[in-house]
Amino acid sequence: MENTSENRVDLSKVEIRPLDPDLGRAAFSCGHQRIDNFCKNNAKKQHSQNKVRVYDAIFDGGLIGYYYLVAASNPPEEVSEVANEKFGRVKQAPCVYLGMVGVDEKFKGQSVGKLLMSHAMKTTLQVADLIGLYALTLHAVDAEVAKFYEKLGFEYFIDGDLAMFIPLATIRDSFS
Amino acid sequence: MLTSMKHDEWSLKEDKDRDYATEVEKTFFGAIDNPKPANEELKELNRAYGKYLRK
Repeated sequence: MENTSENRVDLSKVEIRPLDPDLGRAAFSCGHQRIDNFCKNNAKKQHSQNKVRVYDAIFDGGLIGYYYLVAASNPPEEVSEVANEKFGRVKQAPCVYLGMVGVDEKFKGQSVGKLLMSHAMKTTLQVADLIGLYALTLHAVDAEVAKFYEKLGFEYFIDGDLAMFIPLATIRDSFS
Repeated sequence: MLTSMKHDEWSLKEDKDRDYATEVEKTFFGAIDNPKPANEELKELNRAYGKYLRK
């Protein structure tokens, strides 16, 4: 998808807000089928059922990115069965899982994803002010994206797997 | 997390019992107990977000 001047994003005019059921989601395309499918087929229902909380990035009235947060101990279903056995007591650790971070292809490379990441971390901190929370976890969509998270300080649960976490204390320090 | 019981049990032991049953436990709880300070990349990301909020 071409990123033309007409798709230039003015970040100061981007709004990040909880999913609006009246906002069209069918045209969203970030290039990752799983993230696109969730956006189109699952996001609205799961948000309304409180199974996840979806946050949308809106620009010029349209959806240009989104992510969701959900309370979870860790993403063991995302790792292999063998790796899953290694999690041990980590499965009892309270965490927030960040899922499906996607930016529409037309608006990539303009820091919308970074804005979503910061918003997700800030929101997680707000949760951590109310209830005990150890870390923010995620599962990178591929190794390249994992490198981006790694640069921010996310750590791998297991070498060779894309499940990652960052301690709450580290996030808090980044906003201080 | 199907029950909080295990967490209660484990929390009581946490301070005096640092035995890690698996490498993942060691990696995760080691990082939680001794968190690294935020690096410059993360600080910069969230500084930019602070500017965005002040728009």
